[in-house]
Parts: sequence; structure tokens; C-alpha cells
Amino acid sequence: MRFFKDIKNVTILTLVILFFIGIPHENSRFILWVLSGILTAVLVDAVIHRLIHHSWDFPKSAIISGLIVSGVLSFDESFWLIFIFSSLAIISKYIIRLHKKHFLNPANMALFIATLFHFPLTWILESNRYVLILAGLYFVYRLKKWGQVIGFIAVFSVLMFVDGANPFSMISWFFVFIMLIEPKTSGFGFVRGVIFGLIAGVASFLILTFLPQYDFFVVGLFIVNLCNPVLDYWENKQKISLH
Amino acid sequence: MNKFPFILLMCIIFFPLYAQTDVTQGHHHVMGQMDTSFISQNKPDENKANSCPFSVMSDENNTQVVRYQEKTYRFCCADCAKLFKENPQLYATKIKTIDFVASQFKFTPALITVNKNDIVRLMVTSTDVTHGVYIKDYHINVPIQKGEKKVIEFVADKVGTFAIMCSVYCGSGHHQMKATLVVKK
Repeated sequence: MRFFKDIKNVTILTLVILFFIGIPHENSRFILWVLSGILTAVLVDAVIHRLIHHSWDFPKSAIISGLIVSGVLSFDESFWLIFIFSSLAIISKYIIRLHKKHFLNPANMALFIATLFHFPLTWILESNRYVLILAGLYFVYRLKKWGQVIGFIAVFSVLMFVDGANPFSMISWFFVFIMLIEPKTSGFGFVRGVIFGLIAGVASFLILTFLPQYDFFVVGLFIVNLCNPVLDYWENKQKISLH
Repeated sequence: MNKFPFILLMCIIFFPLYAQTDVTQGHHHVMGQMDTSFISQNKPDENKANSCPFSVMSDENNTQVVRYQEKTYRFCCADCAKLFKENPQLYATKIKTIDFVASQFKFTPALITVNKNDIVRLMVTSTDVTHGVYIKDYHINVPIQKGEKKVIEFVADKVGTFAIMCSVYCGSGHHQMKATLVVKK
């Protein structure tokens, strides 16, 4: 049971289950692609950790980043791309920092660069929505990220409905329950979470409407991640004024 | 030192926007040779001047017009029109026009078969949400919004079987949305 106490273990288990569900529908290249993504991310993270902290550490978060990057990026692309984007995910975590902590979702950062260069994101790891929703609700409960999920689904659904589309056929549960609620970069607290979700939802809708050549979920999350310093500043100001 | 992450971030964001080249919008005057470097994409609703060659009835702004076998062929320039006039039969028979419909989560038809050096014209529409047509080996990546109609043109100069994928997230079955392009010798 100790295994399930660590939310990272449960996330890895969920992603691995989704990976195995996806295998029968794809070819052997998909297996190699995902394994390459994981290995690259783990190696890069281990080496950087060693250089910075002079110690070895098993990087569970790198496994998650590697799984997300390789599971979202199209595996029909050249293999060197998965090495580059998995590495970028980890490197961005160590380089792009503010107040000694990263504020951009590492996997999303790599996918953002991929979509900027028009590499297609096929979201293959979104292989079973029931597993995703079940595990996702558990993650949201454990991480207390209700605000992010409610804010995003509410605003994105309303905007899509107004636009004449069925919102629930367009929401990526993989994005909502795996990427949007990333513990360190999605903020803490219900109100902050709702604001985070609202910005992500509006940004995603605007990208889909006006710049459909870019992946709207990934760009939406990147935009709201960029707002993190401003949201932190606003949150701190609120706390000071309350005291 | 604190500015370093932001400078890096800005470089990451703006470099691809500056450096990216959209090969699908290229226009090369190589029709006469049926050359492998010819790739063009016509977008009826935008940038009409770039949409030659062989844009049948789609671009009103293409001033060079040639009538051949009761069809109107429009060209962006006199050179393209001249090349066509030299051997209209050759080019007219090589144009393969295909109505290509994107919907959740399939392309119709799911299989497109053409011959090598055919000029493939995909008349793409989307019936429900925004989709994208992505053919890696032909450097084609075009988003299509609901109700929109786009014309994608290219010379099928590579023999083989190629996957046509949806490049815009369109729902939970997005990863299964595929079609096949077969180019025969």
C-alpha cells in the first residue's frame, strides 16, 4: 500500500496502463517511441540532478514527463525528435525558473515548442477515457485541484457551446486530469485554481478559434503557466492585505 | 541573471515563429517538367495570389485564364498559363480532384489512390469541429475549421503509402483519425 501513498507512483501506473491499452491499436514503433521518451527524460534528469546536487536520485517526475511527451507527440515523426523534446522538457524545468522554482509544466513546455514548429500532437496516450476519468478524479481529490478542473471545464464548455460545438466531445480528459493539474505549476487553493482553470479555458478556446494550426490545449496551458508569476504576486498581495 | 529565463523563453517562443517556413504555400514554376519540387496549396479564402497553378474555378483573383475542354483553368502568371497551353492534355489528365471530408473521427474517403506525378487536389471540408490534414512526407499540415472549404494541391512525386492524419485535436478519438494515401508508380 506504500506504493499508492506516493501520487507520482499512481500517476506513472495510470500512464503505463494507458500505454498498454494503446499498444494493440498501434505498431511496434509506438512502444519504442514511448520507451525512448522515458529513457531520455530519466537520463537527462539524473545527469542534471547529479551535476547540481552531487547525488543520484531516481527521477519519478522525469518518467511522467517522458511518458506525457512521447504519448502526446506523434510517433510517426523521426526518432531524434523524441530525444530532443524529452530532453527539452527536463532541461526547461531546471533553466526556466523564478524564485528558485519552475513555473512552467515541463512536459507541456516541450510540447509547446513541438506545436510551434508544427509537429502534430496525436494524444495517443488518451487511449481510454474511463481509466482517465477514474484516475483523474482520484488525482484531483488527492492534490486538491478541484478549482483548476471546474474553472477549465466550465469556461471551455460554455465557450464551445456558444460556438455551436458539443463541448464534451472536444475536452481532452488526458489534458484535464494529467496535464492541467500538475502539482507544482498549477497553483494552490480553490480560488487560485478556478482562476487558473478559467485562463486556461479561455486561452485554449481562443487558440482553437484563431490559431488552429497550434495545439490549443498545450498553448492554453503554456499561457496560463506564464501567468503564474502574476498570480503569485496577486495572491501574496491578498495575503498581506488580509494580515 | 534573473532576466535570463525570460530572455530564453522569448527566444524559444519567437524563433520558430520567425524561422518557420510553410512549404505548403510555396509556388514553383516547374509545371513543364512535372518536377518533384512542385508543391502548392490553394486556399480559396486567403492569399489568392499564391494559389496557382491549376486552381480550377477556385481563385477569382488569378488573372490568367485558359479554357480547355469546358473547364476553366486559372493561373497566377503568364508563364504558368503558357506552360499549360503547350501541352494541356498532359496536365489536365494529371489533375486528380478528390472531395475529402473530415469529421469526428474519420476522413472520407479513407483511402486515396493516385499515380506518380499526378497533381492531387484535395477539396477539404469539415462537417463538425476543427480538424487538420497532415501528410508528413509531403510537408502538408493544414487546419480546416467547421464549414470551411480548403483546397490542398501537391504533386504526388513520391511513390509509396503515406498516412494522412488529423493534426488538430478533435476529441477523444483524435489519435484514430487517419486515412491513407497510396501513390503508385
